[in-house]
Amino acid sequence: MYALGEALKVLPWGTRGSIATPGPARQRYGGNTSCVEILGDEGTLLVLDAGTGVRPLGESLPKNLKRVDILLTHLHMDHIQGLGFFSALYDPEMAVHIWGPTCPTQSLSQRLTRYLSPPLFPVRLPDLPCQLTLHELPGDVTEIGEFRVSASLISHPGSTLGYRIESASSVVAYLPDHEPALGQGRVPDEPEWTSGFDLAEGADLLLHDCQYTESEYIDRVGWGHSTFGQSLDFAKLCGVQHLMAFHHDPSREDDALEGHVRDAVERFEPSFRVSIGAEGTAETLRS
Amino acid sequence: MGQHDIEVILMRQLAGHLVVPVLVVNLGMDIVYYNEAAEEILGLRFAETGKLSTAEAREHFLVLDADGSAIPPKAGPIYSAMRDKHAHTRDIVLQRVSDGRQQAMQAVAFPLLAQGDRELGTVCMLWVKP
Repeated sequence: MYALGEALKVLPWGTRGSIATPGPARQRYGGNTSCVEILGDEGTLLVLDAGTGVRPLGESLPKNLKRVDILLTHLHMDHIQGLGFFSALYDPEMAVHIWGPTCPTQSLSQRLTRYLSPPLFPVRLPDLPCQLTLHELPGDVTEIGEFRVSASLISHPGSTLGYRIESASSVVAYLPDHEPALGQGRVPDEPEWTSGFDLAEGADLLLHDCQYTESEYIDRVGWGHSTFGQSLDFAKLCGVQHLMAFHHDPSREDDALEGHVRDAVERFEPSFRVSIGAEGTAETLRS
Repeated sequence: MGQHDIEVILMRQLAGHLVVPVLVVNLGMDIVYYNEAAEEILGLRFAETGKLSTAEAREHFLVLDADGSAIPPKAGPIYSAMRDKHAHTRDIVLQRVSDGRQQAMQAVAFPLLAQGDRELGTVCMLWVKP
């Protein structure tokens, strides 16, 4: 699908939050839940979250691929539901590394097995044919192929990670479920007191939670998500180049989504680029 | 400037909504945050002082035993909670340097122990004695 030598490519395969929402009213931005492919120019492939979008991603994997790394932000269903349908997990020649948040009472394997085992799923995680390795985060900065990957816990119910992925030339930050305004009703203006700041600081591209409108947020404080406006404030504080709105509310149809983002952009007049995450629309970052 | 860990950020958010005086202390024994209720007792404003090192804190207030003798930082509940990784409590007298005002209180400190075996500091709540 891609030729080596291209710059870092970011391709959303699922941008929806909470639950998959297929249908004609959501065709432009898609109905699959969180999943983003990151492909480096040396061929390293990262998969950010394994929502329902990871199934079609599996069908597009390069034939010669021998390793894939899945970086899970957290284990809510909309971020792992596609895992059992990801073709790489059934390839005995494939090394699959799953990275996810640590927990004080159960290992990552135990927690994933709660979903990947009967009666919820016919195949048990330990029985998958691929060469599977699990890693728990946060920890030290990790080198995966040509990428440096940092993970930190961020403001979202339960143990939830955000990721910062650095290549030689670009930085991508991925915080699809994030409520930095929790407790204040607005994003703090102090970087050191802002959840996720270190991950997103100076990023070329920030994929960030924009699930709610301002009126919706009033009744959903503490649910772990942001408004468009809060995401714009967060992106401004972090000095990013490009904010991609992500984790669209399942109730939001395409026209409404565009309207909400357009209104927020008109009000905030950001100095950086703003786009709406859309399934199948790649963003290429060049040095 | 590095960002605080999420647990410390959330602790500040919670403390900011409480009426009990709360100090959030990092592993270096710096007071990285104190809430409005603590501002009244300390005679300071966090917005003005920001983080206070142990030495800076001592310029503003002293922590004394009931008999008036100074409690060394490493004998106090904050350090003890950090060292022992469990809660400590102690009756103290807090004396402001600016006006000498003394206030008897119970200090209750607990360590901030986070997932992944991360030790982040201590939270100290101050219960003013009538």
